Amino acid sequence: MRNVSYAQALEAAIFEEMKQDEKIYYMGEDVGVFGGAITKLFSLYKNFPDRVIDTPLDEKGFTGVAVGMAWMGLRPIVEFMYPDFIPLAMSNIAHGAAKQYWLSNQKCPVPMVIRSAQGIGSQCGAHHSECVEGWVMNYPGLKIAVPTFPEDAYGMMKYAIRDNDPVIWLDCRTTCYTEHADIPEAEDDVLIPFGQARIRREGTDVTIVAWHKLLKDALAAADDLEKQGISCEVIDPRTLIPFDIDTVLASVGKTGHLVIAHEANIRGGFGAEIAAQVTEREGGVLKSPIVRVGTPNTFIPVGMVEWEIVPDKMDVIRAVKKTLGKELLEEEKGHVVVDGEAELKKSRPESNGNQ
Amino acid sequence: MAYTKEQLVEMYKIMQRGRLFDKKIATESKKGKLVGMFHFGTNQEAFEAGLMPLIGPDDYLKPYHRNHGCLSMCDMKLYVAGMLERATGYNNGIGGDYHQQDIADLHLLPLDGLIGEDWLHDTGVAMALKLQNKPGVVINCQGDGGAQMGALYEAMNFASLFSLPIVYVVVNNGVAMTTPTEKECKCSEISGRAAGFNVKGVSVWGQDPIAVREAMEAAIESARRGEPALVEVMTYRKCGHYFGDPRDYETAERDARMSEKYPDPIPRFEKMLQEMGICTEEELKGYAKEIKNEIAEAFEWAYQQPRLTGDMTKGADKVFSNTEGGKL
Repeated sequence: MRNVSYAQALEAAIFEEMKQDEKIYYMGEDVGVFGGAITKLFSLYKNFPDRVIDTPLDEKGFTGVAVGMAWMGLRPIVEFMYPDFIPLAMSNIAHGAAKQYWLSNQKCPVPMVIRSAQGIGSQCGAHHSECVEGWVMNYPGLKIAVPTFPEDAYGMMKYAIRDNDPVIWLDCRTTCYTEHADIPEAEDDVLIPFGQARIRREGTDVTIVAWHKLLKDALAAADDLEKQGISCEVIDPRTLIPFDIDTVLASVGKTGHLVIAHEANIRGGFGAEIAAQVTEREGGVLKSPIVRVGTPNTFIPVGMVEWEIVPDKMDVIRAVKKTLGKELLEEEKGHVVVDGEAELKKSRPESNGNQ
Repeated sequence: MAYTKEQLVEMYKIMQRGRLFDKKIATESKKGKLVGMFHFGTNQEAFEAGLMPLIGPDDYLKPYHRNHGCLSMCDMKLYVAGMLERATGYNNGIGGDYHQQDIADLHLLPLDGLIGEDWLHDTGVAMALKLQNKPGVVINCQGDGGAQMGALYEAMNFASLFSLPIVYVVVNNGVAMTTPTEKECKCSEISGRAAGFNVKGVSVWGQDPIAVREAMEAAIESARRGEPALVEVMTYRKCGHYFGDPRDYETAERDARMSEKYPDPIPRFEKMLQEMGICTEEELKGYAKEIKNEIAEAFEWAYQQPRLTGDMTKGADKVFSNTEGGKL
């Protein structure tokens, strides 16, 4: 085992895959010498200068080109500096990548990974802070990965690269600089298949399904709630498409209560899809209505105030208590002002040289 | 004349096949045997007569959505079956007339229904050839409408930057759906835009298959050397946007002017072949008849084929190559 950061886990996974398959290319803006603007992946360019391609500032261009490369059997990974830019290339992703296997009568798969880190954390405002899983989930033909922890990112990225279908890979901007974990050695070749949720914490009173920032918040909320005698089961779906509904249903069957929390805007977010699937399939086991937590249907301002817009631990606590019909403690009531500076410090410790 | 009789006849047949194929679709549509929308390329057939013979076994073509020049790369029976929603046709019949494709074997690239988007995808195909040191060039054909899409300019930038083996063909037929080219852009020649990307651009009169062929040959040779090129074929669409289009947006004055500038390429080429003593009138009639029969046989065969059903297109295994891992 090796203890690595989230960025190092991703770097290791991509490096190891590129080493054993020369059809893999890493493309995007400033991904060469600069290492990419999200999580620096310096070793890629250093080791594979011919297969790490710096492109013009043209998301549509490099995505469209990568689609054609994938049609020809290459395995491009494209990096979007921010997923807010995905709409620029949506027609290439939707028509060129997602539809091609179906349109070609199952003859032409499109093995590509479209990678970006989403959410707040860069203080860059409305055009650089979106969470986009809801934008792409309605489209058949795309898989969506939302890893939060390094060990998951490592095994899942290897799986994503080897998968023959297009994958939208979303990292979380506020957690991808802080998390450290043990990952397997390269020679063990450990992959984490898609569609397998991970129960991050077992509990009996309420099920919380969450990913990215809100998964961290949910785990912190579960710690606090345990002290009040409330036992939360926290599930990390790890991929949204395919979605491991069975693990969620089994948990809800046990607890009878469900909270779904994500950083994306609440309307039309993936939480709505999970709520619908649970209600349609096992609605009878629910002892109270499902509660969703998400960003209000608005935008993110520039600066530290971004932390006050997106939901946090307190929103998860309130949601749990709402679904359980429990009284809020005094400090849990109303709007809680988040100290953006403190949160930022937590999300980017000085020891981390990545950003 | 630098061409053999065989080459000239091949060009003639490509033009006639395009024209007669459209005519057959019109006849069958009138009988109520075809559904959907069909786009004809009447009066533009010379461009594919000049292009298709140049496409070698290592090359890739994204066909233009009007003329049926790509038929010379396909099995016509399978193409017609694909067009008629027959399960035994290309792509199980899900693609209709425009979206039939087979990248791996036929080197026939898919036509994106968002006209102009595949400029970029096919630039990626050229990128794959280049990165793997494979031979072959990619030829992507669109109309003047598709040339207004930003994707062309992004594609040319990539092609030029990475020295890709690709030829962009703009069939400027004077109208995009119903909008005349002069209302689309102020450039009299779209090929002039290529210079901005360090791509060689040339415009060629599109009623003479030999002139088109020479321009295409130069462009393809250039692309093979890693110098991408754009060929604009100047022509005139002498039919509606779709079969049944009343074409009332076209004025008689413009039609007369454009028809004079871009006369029907088929009788023009026939006259030339006869005047040069290459073919007799009887021979030419014979070729046309041969093609007519080939088309009729393809339709007859296709009508007998089993229909595509909705169930054949549904299911996660049709959409994803890997269905492992729960709900897709």
